[in-house]
Amino acid sequence: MKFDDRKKVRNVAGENIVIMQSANTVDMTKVVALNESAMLVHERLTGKEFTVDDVVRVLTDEYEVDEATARRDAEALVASMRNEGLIID
Amino acid sequence: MVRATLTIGGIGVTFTGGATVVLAMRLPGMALFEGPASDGIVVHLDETLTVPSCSWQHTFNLDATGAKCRFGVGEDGCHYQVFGDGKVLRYDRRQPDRVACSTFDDPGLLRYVLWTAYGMAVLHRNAVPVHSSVVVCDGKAVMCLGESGTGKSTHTRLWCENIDGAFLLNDDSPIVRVEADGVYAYGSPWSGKTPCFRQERYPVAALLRIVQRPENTIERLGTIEAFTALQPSCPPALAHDEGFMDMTVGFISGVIGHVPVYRLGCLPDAAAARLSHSTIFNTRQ
Repeated sequence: MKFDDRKKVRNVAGENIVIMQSANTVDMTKVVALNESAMLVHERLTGKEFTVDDVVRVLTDEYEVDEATARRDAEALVASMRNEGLIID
Repeated sequence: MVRATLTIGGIGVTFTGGATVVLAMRLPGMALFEGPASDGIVVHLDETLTVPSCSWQHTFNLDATGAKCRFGVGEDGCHYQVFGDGKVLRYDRRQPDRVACSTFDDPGLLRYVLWTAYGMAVLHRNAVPVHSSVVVCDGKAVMCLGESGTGKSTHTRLWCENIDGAFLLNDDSPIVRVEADGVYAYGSPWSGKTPCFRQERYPVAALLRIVQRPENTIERLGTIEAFTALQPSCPPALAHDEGFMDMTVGFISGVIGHVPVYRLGCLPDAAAARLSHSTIFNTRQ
């Protein structure tokens, strides 16, 4: 899997967000906000092919967290970013 | 060559071309913004402009006229927006102060195209025509945002009727600028159905995202919700290109970093106006 490079992360007044462009011009904007760990993973792994193991490594390198917890967090993070279309195959 | 010079949003604007310049200056309110020639932007109305081969990124129907619009980037690197039957607007990011458009006979379409051209050309100056209805009170502007039909104009009218000294600055598209000492709203020649054309500017006190509700409620929005409240009110042409979006995001960050944004759930009544006024001006009992 990899990050979709069309989904650009932008800083808005201190928050990191991705603007999800809707197909029509109704007055609605959907944005996805990246929290600190999501942003870290995005920074480290963007532009590369990666696996859940790589995400686990990013988390254990940066945070004092045991492998099992990091794996659980990594799986949840990947699932939610995939769900939002930030991660594609 | 016919030439007209204006000052809109504190920025010099020159229209050049033929008879369409005359037509442009006859649009409601436009002549009130005539000003001395100055450095600024140029909108050139060029009847020879044609639609090039482009990769089209986005297609939408224009609310005002029902015309189908396309937006894309040409092989020459310029941005093109095509209106209906082949009328076109060209923006070149290497010369962002100079926008070219086809000539138009239809005043409604001409008005819209000039608004789009102006919006593209002034974006790099941190200025945006923001779709909103704006009321001024105590020397400060309060901007009502929301989808068409949610009651922006109704809410500003309720301020004018119920809040001492409140008056309308613009009913459709004021120019908003992030300046060194704060955020300002300027009157403009684009005021929707209400002929309210004021060559004036006021510091912005607050933004109100209007939502219809069975009772009046108001809450201040956090950064992300404030962003989603303001972004759809910026011109649609700016939403479908990374370069425009980068500048738009910079502009929105500047606005919401300085000005509180509220969501106002409201009925169309005087109490709604009093609630938003007392919250913004901190006079709530």
